[in-house]
Amino acid sequence: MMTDDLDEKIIGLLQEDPQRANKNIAEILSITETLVATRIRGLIETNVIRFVAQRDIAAFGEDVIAHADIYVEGRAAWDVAQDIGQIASVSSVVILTGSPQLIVEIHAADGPGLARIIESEISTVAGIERIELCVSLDIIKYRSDVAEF
Amino acid sequence: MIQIDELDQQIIALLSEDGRRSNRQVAAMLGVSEGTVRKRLRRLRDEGAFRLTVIRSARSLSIGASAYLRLSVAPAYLRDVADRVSSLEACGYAAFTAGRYNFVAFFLMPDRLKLAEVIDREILVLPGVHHVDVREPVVATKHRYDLVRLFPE
Repeated sequence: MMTDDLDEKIIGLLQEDPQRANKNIAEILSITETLVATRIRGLIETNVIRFVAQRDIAAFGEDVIAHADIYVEGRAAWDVAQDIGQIASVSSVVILTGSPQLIVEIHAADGPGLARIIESEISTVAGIERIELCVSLDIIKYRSDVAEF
Repeated sequence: MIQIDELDQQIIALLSEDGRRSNRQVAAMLGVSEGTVRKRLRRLRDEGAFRLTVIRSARSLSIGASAYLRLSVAPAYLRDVADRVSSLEACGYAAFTAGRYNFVAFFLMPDRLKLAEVIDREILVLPGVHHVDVREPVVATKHRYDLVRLFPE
């Protein structure tokens, strides 16, 4: 769905403060509260925006982020992706066109924790021929306001 | 690491269920004052531990291509390259890494042509960049955008 100027203004105000009351938005934009409510509902229903509560993983004890290239053999990459997606420490799974077939993002408390997730959770999924790990030592940017949904 | 007590956890849990709940509702549910909830949330947000936010779908921003870039950079140039690459608007993730590549970045672009242009004109031309390995996702089957890294404001 394409958004218009009014949608973008409402989104901008909500991004400043997601808890902002519809009444307040209506006053700022000189429109009715009903129109604000209708637009916000429309933006959510057509998958333009989502209200999300985000936690910083480091504040909750997970300091390590690693990206694993997964080379799949003898099994559909989509099926391997579904199985790996069940693992709680795996925060994202993407499918690629070439080889490796998957890249997964893993969150772990520390080095030994990461090793345990790789060995006893990811490696046990059928169809994995090889895993190449890229561990982030120091994250300098993490944009978390855009997603595929 | 910041201290997160029982009350913080309860506030976070209620807002994780429904991010449009008002502070007054949260306060009433927990039997505390609205001011307490507001103060707790401000502290959590300022320290980069938790925030309520509105995220956009990539499609609604006309983002049609993405890529993981892994860079091999001469060590003396690494910091400069990292600053330049991470400051690009399309860069969504950037980190120093260990191993064959010493820097990774995730890019979000309108299309593959724009992606190729950025790699060619903005990244490969930087002094010290030996090689860029490009991995292009076609679809995400899982994305926990509620578990992220936040940086203090």
